[in-house]
Amino acid sequence: MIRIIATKDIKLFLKDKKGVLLTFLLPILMITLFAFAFGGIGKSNSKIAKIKLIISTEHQTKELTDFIHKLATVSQLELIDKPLEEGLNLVKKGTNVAQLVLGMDTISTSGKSVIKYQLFVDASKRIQIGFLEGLLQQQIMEGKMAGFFEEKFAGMPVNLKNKIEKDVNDTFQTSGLELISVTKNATDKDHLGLVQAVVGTAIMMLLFSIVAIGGGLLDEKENGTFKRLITAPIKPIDLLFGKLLMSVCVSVFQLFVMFLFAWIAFDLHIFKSVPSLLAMIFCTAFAVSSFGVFLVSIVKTRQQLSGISTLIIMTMSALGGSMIPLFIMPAFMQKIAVVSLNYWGIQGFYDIFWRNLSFVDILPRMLVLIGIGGVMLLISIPLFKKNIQQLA
Amino acid sequence: MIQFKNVSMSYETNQVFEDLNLNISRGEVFGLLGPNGAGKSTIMHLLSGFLQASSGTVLLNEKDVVKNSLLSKNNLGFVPQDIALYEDFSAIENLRFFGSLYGLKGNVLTERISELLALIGLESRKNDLIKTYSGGMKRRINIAVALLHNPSVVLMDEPTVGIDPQSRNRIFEIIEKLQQRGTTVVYSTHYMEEVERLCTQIAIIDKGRILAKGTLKELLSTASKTDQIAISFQNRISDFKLKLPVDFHWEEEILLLNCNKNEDLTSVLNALNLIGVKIANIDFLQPNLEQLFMELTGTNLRD
Repeated sequence: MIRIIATKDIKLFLKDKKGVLLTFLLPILMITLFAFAFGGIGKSNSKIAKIKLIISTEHQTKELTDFIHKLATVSQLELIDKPLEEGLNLVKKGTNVAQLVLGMDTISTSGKSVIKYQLFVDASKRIQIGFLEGLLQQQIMEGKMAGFFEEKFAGMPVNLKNKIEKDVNDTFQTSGLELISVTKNATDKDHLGLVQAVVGTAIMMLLFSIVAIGGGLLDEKENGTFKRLITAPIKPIDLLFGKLLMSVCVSVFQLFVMFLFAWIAFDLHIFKSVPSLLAMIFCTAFAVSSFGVFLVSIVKTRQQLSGISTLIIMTMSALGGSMIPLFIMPAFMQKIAVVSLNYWGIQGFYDIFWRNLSFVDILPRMLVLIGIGGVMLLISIPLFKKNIQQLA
Repeated sequence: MIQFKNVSMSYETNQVFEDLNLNISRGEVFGLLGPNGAGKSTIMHLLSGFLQASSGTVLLNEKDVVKNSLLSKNNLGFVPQDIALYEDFSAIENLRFFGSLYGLKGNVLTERISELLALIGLESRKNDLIKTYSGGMKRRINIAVALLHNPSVVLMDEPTVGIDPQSRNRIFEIIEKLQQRGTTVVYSTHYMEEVERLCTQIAIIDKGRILAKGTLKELLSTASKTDQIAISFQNRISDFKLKLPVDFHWEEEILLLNCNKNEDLTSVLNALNLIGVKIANIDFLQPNLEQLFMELTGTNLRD
């Protein structure tokens, strides 16, 4: 009987051409938008945008010129030469992330001249600043080390001096803070921004779609077909499960289409672990569908559904990382995120697409999603029964 | 066949019924006649299992409809007051879906659908979407859905509301055919003429109380002994001129009197003669359910 109800709902859903189009087209549009925003890419050959760093110098010395030349070779940076005040204004207005002011300073104990580095930053761009800071520290330390060898081992044969300098650099500098990705096969194509954009948007849009599908039950209440269904020899709860089955089917299909689109359009490697992907899609679809059923059970009219669902979905999406990546959020927000259904879905897909975890490692997240779905269903059943009585 | 035993029903603070008792025999076309809000639909809903009584029992074939919900529902066909169809499905898709809810499938379902489409006269439109149908056609499909599983009892909740005379007649014919087959029909309406034409038993209901019950003949025989007389005139007369020794009112240009024809008519005719009007015709009207309802409740059936 549940299958008959679900089949009817799927047929009704497919007859609503505009609804079907919105179910699939809108999420694809949103994924594209967020992929460009967070992923920073269009197709696979897209590059990460360079950081435009303003350089201002207080003095003209050989050391400063050498350092600037060295900095110009760093591929992630684009240097812009500006006078001090003008550069500061550009940073204040948010046009540029930072301004590096270089000057010469004298050490009081030795009377020796050294380069003075001052980085003026737009504090709102924390991620870019962190990245920039790392790059600059590396360049500064390398420059200092070169100067040290030049000064202390001036008479040493050049080959030997270079070898010692390289060994010291390898031992104490570059190897001192080497950034190593913890993912197995992370590539530019699968960088976190893209995974975030695709997964976060997919789950948020899925929630909206499911609410629209669940709203069909309210339409049935309003047009009287629900009354007819209740008087047929079926258990009232079968109607709820029929709707759930239909929602799960549509959700699975919708998620699959969205990931397929991300694969075709952005080269997101979705087939790293097909069993994990399918299981995760199913668990997410179940949790989201149960959420839809829960919402439909607590509201009485379309207007109520629209208001309550928008509030809950936007809150869950904001908290859970669908709108803003979790890694940008402060620590306490990241702790709160676990209350959101989006969080568990997004983290589960991260595990597959980015962290490359095994099925067993991802299983706990799947179980949490199934648990969330189960709890929502358990709450929905008595509410739905009560709702039927009130309908009369 | 159908029994309501001491049924009370209330919604929150609103008491719809109190100790309702009602028996409906097999093969009857049982009419529930009453104004909007009288409790007709609630009786239907209690019987169909859509609602549960606050107290008392509703029996179908001597079995409690709540305790034997699925069995009862299999024996019942419900035609709701609303057109409960999927507008984006064709007639045949609607019939297939609802038939499958009653366990019908394959050739049995196909044959049953053909039979019903012929009965309601919509074979040629079977593949059209319901949203393209007229109100009357939708009403007919609405009835066909309830008959798919050949129920022994059909509940019809105001099935002719807002439809054209042609569709109304078609529905009457369907009900008459059901009666010939021995199907019990519970028919609620506030149209007196429908009850008079179709029903073998009638209950007049108002504010959750059954005021009278019986055949049309039995009910009319309980109407008061005053006669209703209609007098039409050759010339127009002004209302203010008229002072009569009996109750009267106008229906357009016909004067309707409520009086005893043997005792009061002579004095009425004398009074009319005095003001110089010329009588064209005098009719002695038969008592009807409308009149009975007014006597029982003091209000008009459609108030």
